[in-house]
Amino acid sequence: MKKTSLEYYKDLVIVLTQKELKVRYKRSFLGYLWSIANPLALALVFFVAFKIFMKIPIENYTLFLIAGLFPWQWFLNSVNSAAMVFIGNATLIKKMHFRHDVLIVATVLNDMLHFILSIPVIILFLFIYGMKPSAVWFIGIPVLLIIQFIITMGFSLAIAAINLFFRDIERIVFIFTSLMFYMTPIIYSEAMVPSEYKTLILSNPLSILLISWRNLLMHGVLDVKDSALAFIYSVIVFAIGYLIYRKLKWRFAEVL
Amino acid sequence: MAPAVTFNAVYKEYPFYQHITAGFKSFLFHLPRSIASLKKTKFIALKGISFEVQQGEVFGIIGRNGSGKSTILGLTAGVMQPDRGSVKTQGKISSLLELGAGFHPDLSGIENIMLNGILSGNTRADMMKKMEQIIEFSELGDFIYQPLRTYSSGMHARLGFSVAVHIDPEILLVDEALAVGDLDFKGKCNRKMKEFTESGATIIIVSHDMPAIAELCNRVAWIDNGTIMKIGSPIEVIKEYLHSLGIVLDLDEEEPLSESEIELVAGKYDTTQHSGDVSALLAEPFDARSPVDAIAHEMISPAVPVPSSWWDSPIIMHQCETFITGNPEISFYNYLKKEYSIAGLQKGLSICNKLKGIEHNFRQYNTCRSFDIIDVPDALDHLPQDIRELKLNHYDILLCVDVLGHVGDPGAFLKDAKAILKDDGFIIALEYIGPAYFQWTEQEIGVADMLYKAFNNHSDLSANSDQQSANISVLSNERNRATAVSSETVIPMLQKRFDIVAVRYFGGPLYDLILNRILHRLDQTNEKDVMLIKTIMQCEQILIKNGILKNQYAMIIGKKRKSHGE
Repeated sequence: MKKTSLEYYKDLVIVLTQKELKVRYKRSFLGYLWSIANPLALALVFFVAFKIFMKIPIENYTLFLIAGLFPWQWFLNSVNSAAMVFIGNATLIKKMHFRHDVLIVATVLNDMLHFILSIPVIILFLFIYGMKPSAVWFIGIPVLLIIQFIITMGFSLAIAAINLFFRDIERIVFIFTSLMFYMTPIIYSEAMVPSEYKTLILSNPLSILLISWRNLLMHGVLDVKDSALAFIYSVIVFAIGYLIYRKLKWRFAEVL
Repeated sequence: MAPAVTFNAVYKEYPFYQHITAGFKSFLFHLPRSIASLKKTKFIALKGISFEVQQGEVFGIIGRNGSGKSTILGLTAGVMQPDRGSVKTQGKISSLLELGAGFHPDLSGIENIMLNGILSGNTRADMMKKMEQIIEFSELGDFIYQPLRTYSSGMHARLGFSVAVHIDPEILLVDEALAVGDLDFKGKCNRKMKEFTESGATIIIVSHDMPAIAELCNRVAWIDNGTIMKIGSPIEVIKEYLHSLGIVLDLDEEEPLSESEIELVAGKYDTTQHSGDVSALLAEPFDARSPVDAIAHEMISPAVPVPSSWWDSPIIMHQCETFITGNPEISFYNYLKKEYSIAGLQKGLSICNKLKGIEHNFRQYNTCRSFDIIDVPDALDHLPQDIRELKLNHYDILLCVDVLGHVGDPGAFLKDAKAILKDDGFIIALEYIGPAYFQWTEQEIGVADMLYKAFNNHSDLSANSDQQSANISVLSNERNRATAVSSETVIPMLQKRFDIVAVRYFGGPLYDLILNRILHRLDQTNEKDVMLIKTIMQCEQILIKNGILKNQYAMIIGKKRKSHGE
């Protein structure tokens, strides 16, 4: 049957992602620039606060920030919009029969595309600080993209599904992501964390991923052990998220 | 060949989720109650239904709103799963559960075609091939490049239908989709659907559009309250369904009902008044009737025989007709013909409260060839939706007998009434038009009392006197209850939507009294009694003219007003 073929799913994902892309910036003038503006503005604030005022002992702090903030932004955007994905596509879910998780795939892919498009900005900053992109990127970026895609999917699926039944999840996600931001070594380096708190920080499934991103983007290094660990984390998160989604999906058309 | 769709003992219920969607906080605050209510409060949409739809069949589903039709489509489309039982489908399904579901307002027509096609299970390559056909069929022209939010609802529907029929579904699900679009496009859609079935595809339609159902479907299922009431040939099922709503139709496809059939129908109604079961069924669609009302009914009904009408009594009928026509030689129907050229009409709708068989006379005198009948249980709120949608601009004449004062929302009722009439259609209303809230005046009760005594002179007056006044006050109570809506507004209300052609008095409180209380005691072949009735009614007319008696009944003829004023 056509419905189950791989080609069909590929097309489904492509068309839905295209739709997301088109719809998101359909009526705005600057379009995709907005997806860069936000992390850049954040980077500026943190730079002023931590580097200039508090004199944080990290070299190339702007680059350091950006290398963490851009991947974080992808995660944050996906997770935040996931809460509204099923609600926003209520008519589709109620009236048409297709795999609803594809909607989440499209959302996460869409944010991933924005992240990929923001990599040139990182390269620009590399040059400003007198550094160069590394050849390791050709392997490292796809690997980390896949890992982050899987982990983001896990969170998004769970949040999207639960939000249909408990709309409060939306608020909870907001608080949860804010906390997570400071629990993840983005504005500080893992080396600065006192050893008794290190396990706490590293038990955050995103920490190792973001450390890996920064090592890759700033130093052209891809640590195999870290990547493997991040991958295991992401698979666990995905499995939990998918189970929650699967448990609830048959009630979607009824709740919406 | 396996059936295209198989429902096997399908049971589906919906818990009421608002306990949860109202939010975590309220859920937690009322935790024990929330959990209890989660378990208890559920809506059973389907109560174990089984049916099969064969390949190549056009299968219609009809029923009242909330009867479970859309749940069946949802289950067939696969957007829901049954709680018990199984649903099996064979082949690619295209659902038109809602025209343009899956359309995004910010995307252009072309982009939406692609999106919709993909969501219905097609690859991009497939859609590219069909794109041109779809655009052509939709007749949207250059609008196809515009974002959907600029489309009219008709254009929306055209695009939706066009996509749905061009993606070669093996099963097409249609929910109320036929109601939109102009006539031309509707015809095109119907042709396309026929083409479809000829190629062996299966169609399942849910609709209130009975003519379309009758025309397109091979088989129809009538669903009510989560169960299948009947499956069978369209005409048969539709008739029975409408019957359950209190509507008797002689469908266009058939020979008009013969005289005897009308009588049969009228006879059926008479029996329903006595046999509890059937009348309960008949009243069910309008079960807004409150318990208090029901009690009031019981209190009155044993004392009074089935209320009769002036139609049933030759003497009163003749007297009423004389009042209306102003000439004892001219019958009511000839009067309509002579004065207002109301004659030889084709289709009428008769909405009656307690009065049956009035149409018979209209047919006999060739005022109108055939009638659909809505027999109205007391608590009619508005015109049933089904008939409104079914019969827009359809009728030449609408007959209302003792209805307008009882309708829950007369404004809406008359608006609908206007909508189902042809442009030059008439409304004839025989209604109470006296002061609001039928109130017997002192004089009227006095006269009534006197009459009552006069007719009871062979019984023991003193022993009965208490009962008499009791009876009369019951009578007035009954009127008070029945005319919950201010009857005074009947004429102004009619005037809002119709050009009033004539208002003719035909009776007042005494007439009412004779009909409801006294008529059955009289011997209508006895000349003395006949004279008595005539005298009373003529006196009454004089008393009304002089303003002594206030309550009166009148025939109102209205003509449908051209609508551009509105």
